[in-house]
Amino acid sequence: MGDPGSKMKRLAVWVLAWACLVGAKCYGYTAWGGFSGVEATYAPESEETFAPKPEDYDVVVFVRGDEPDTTYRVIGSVYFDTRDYWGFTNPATSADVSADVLDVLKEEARKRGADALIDFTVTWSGAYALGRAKAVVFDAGGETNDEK
Amino acid sequence: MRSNKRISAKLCVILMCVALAMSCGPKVKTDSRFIRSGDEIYPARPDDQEMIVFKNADEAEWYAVQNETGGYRVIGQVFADAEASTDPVEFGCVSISEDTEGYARDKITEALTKEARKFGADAIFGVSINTASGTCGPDKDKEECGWAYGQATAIRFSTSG
Repeated sequence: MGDPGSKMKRLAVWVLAWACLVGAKCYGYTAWGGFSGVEATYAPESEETFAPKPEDYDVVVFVRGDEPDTTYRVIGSVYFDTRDYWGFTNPATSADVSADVLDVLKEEARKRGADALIDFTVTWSGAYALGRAKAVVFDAGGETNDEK
Repeated sequence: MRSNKRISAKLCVILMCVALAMSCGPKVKTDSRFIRSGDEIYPARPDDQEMIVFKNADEAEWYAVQNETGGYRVIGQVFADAEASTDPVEFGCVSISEDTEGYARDKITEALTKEARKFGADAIFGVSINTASGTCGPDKDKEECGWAYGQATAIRFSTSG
């Protein structure tokens, strides 16, 4: 038998250790695909803010070299870099990472009220993934393909 | 009869040798993914259609002018990765020094064009590939692996329907 007080202390230390361990690993690449517990960075173009789009809104994506046919206005830039997360590991051989990075950027853009993402690029290796794009709203009088 | 048996036995030996030779090279796994640009969906190109691989956008533009394709449109970005691995002890193969990274790299462009074709592309350009190599597998110090990660821009010529 031991001192009940010291048992409690030992238990508390174990619980704390587990909490730290789980806390440190609660983000990353999940076994079923997709990133968990990670967010994109958003850099607004101006002080103007926009209402978030509904959760089921599908933000359209245009890769670099393509643009929307309608006029648009850039409202900010979104970034996602796995190197910002300590201990983050990517799956070594999955082309799906590119799509998962895009999902993180789309979600951030949706929350910021964007209609679409343009100039989407992603760089990735077995060690990290880095995605970026510009968030835009469709806007009469904004920039068009012809003006560029 | 005896002659037939002898021929069959020889054939078996030859087939076993071929199977052994084939199992000795690196094993290559590829994976690919297409990210569509915009919301337009294009029909897949036939499997036998030749895909053009341009170095960059300027080369694609030049081809479009020369062949009067009416220009091109970027329809997406295509991604692929490949893993080549060798097991030096399997079937007596000694292949630890194989260029697994090179094998993986060779498979990337093929995987990129195949995936782009499925989404209606006529060509790709700007192929970029990163490679890495190291030991892998259950016996970490025995199996040699090479990885390659590639991406390219998929395009469709305007007059191609």
